[in-house]
Amino acid sequence: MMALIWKEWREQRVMVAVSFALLLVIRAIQSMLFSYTGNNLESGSWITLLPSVLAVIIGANVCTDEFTEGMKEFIFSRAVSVRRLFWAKYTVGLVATIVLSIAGLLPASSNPGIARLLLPVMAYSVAMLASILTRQTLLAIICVPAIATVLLLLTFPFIAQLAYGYYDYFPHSIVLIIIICTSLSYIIWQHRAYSRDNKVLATLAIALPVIFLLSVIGHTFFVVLEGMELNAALAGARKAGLRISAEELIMPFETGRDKTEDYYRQASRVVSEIERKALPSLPPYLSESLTPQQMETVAGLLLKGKESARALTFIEEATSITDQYIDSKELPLKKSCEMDDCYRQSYKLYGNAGRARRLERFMLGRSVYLTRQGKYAEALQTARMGLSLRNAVNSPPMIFTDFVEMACTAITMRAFQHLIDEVPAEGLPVSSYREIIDGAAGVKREAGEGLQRTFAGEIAYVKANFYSGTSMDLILATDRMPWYVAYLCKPSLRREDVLKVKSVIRLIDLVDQPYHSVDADLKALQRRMCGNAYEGRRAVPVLKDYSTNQDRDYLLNFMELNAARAAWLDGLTIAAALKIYRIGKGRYPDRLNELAPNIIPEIPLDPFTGKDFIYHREGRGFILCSLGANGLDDSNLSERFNARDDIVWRSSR
Amino acid sequence: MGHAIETLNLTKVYRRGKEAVNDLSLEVPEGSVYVLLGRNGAGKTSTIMMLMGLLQKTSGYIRVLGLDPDKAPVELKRRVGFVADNQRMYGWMTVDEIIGFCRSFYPTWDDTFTGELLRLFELPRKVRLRDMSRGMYGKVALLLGLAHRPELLILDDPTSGLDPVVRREFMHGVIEAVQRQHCTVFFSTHIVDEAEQVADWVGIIDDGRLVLSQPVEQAKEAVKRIQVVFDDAVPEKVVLPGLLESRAAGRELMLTVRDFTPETVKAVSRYNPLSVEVLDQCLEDVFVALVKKTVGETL
Repeated sequence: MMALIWKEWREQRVMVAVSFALLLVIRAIQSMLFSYTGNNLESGSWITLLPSVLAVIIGANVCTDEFTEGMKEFIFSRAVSVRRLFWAKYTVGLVATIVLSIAGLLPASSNPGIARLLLPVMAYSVAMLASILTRQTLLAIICVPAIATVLLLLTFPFIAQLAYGYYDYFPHSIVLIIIICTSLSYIIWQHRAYSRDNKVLATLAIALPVIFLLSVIGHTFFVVLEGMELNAALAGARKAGLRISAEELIMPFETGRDKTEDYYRQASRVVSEIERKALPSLPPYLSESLTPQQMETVAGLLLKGKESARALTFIEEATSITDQYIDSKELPLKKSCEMDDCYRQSYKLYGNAGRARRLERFMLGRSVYLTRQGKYAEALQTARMGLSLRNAVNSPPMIFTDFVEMACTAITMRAFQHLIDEVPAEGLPVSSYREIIDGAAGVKREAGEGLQRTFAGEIAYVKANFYSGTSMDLILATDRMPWYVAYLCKPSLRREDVLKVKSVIRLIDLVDQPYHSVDADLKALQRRMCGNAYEGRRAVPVLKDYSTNQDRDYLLNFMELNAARAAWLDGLTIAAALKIYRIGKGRYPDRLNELAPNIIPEIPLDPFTGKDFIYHREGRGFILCSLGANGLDDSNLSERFNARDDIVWRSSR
Repeated sequence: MGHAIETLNLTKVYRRGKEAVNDLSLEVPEGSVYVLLGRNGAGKTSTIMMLMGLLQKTSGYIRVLGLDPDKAPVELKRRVGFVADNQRMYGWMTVDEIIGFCRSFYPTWDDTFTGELLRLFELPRKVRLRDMSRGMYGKVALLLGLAHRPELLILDDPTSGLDPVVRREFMHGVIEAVQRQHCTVFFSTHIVDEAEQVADWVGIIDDGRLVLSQPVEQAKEAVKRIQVVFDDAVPEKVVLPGLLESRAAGRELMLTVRDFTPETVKAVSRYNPLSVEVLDQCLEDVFVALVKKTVGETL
């Protein structure tokens, strides 16, 4: 066996060495750029395909020589089995391919997923099959795309991936193709070695439909599995008395596509649906006779049918991951591997976030109901549960959190809003209002200690993403790299990309500062980013334009969310203080500064404007308002979600 | 005496219905030097490929050194030395490298013997195979077939494409090596005189059929040419047992017969010839006579 391996190595070594050198040179350039700029070459571009291309050349060369006239008689008449000859060949090429793939991933890669190791192996296997079929290197290379296409079409789940975005199946397809190509290569190799040429076509004729059938079965299996889960979940939901569509259940698991706008609409629809249902005629499961445990059980059913047990433990899970995350030091910018951990955690949590959202809606419904019933203390308790839920789930950096969070913060806070609006000042004891104030202060304190660190984590995540992951555009943007080096690395660089990256760098600088102090800067950046990268689109205020590219607007949204969270908490504190004032004085104050320092030590400012919250008495009640991200009084605007971003507490009693 | 090679009703039909080997029953005695003679395309290579397990037979029975090539291919190849027609080897390897490569497959590989053969064939160790002359290349192939001391050496038209000097050198190499080795040699060729020098058994294959398989001397004895001179005209038709060819020139008639016995002369005498002379045949004459006969039959 050693002699065979030696021979194969001698035949392949030049090719392997050249490929390896090529990859190392590219990686060296990448490292150089990395040390200059803290940035990598684009990890999702042609460089990642290079190992696959080299693997094709290696594979196409493997089995061509043995079947030439005269050579076949020589090699197959040696005292070595045909099987051993094949596997020696296959193994040497495979090892070379894997080494190249690893070299292609080193030294820094944002996401060395299994698919990226498998892809070159697949390319190699397909090329090897082509080389056995054609017996000519060049012809084999030409045939590889055709064979690969046929096999991809035959491995049916791949089509499903393209059509439905089920990217989870991608490695399955690749593994299937590797197995198919290797088996076919071996069978044909044997046929050729024993000159059973006439059976090659027959083998292919049988094998291809079998492959197709197998992949159809495989695909069906996955679809059925998902369908079963879905049905169980739907049944659970129906049993719980809630009308929820299959689409809404699938939604949180669909991560591969940019459906944020749809999602947002859908989320608001569900919220209004629950509100509509909760207010006039509450279904029995929302009644006060349910204990918290029962409530969670129902929520679990609502979440995912049989998975209710898991739904009940998700808070724990999310909290523990959050703690771990907060305990660990802040994400180092240049250690992309840690970013990967972060990415994986986020991904895992994303599924939980979907569940959390549902629980949260549920809590909202219950809180509103309890408020209407006059059970203010319980309503408060429920709303606080909802808030803690949100915090627990949302704390670690998450992909796509922005829109979700925007929607859901609003949802939870709306429960408090209802409470403040509906409850007569005397409806709750002073201690409850104190509890609200303390709770808000507690959350703010957390924000100081935990949440701010978590947000720092989010910023680090975004930074890491920009610096080490997907955006080599930074090379140009940092102005440290000569333009020709950058163009050499990425010929397709566009001017708007550069502007975009420059904007992002500026954003990263701004992100730690209070929202109101950078408001003008942010708006200028938004205009620039919208104007350049989205030519032809109307320049809407980006902070409210949920349809724009979320990666780019991630930081903008984050900043706004941070401010919004503060606005909600501070507004709540003031509103509760107003209620305490009302209990003591029998009326609401004329100005907010009457609340300090007796009720609260100081009056918080509106984080969006840096000025006082807008406050005035209205009849026997009051209106308290934060102007929101646009800094404008939106009370004359329609209630469309995107248009109106003021945060308003309005109490008539 | 056992048989190194034994086939029974061996048949190979190719995809397009061409019968390369037809019902071939062959027995090669152990220790013999057996030459398989045949014209180009007669089925020699197909037969040898089936013996080596490199070609799947359509039907029939094969035993090489008592082994079935389909069932025990590796064991068989360990005990057999083989040089193919126009054999190609890895051109980038030097002689030393290809020896090193091949020796790992054979537990019986003999390094001393390899050294002797290298000296005998005057082969340079460090030269790449692609830089060698055809003669040298052939000798390397032969060395690789011999160095593991096989019990049976199978050579498929080993001298084709070689010039006469090299061919002779090659055959001498074979003879000398085999004398040291005492193994059975089975080789095919269409060049008869070189076969005659070394072979003690001969098989003649034509159109996939074995038309003769005998010790060389017997074959030569069995096929004779009879020169018959008549005083007047040559008889129109001569009927003789085993008559292969009859050619008339004036009063002279030249008859070629197989399975010659003294009875054959008596049978000729019945036509009242003036004189009858029995001429010895060389192997080439025997080959041509037999092959021509079958060509005639098929026509």
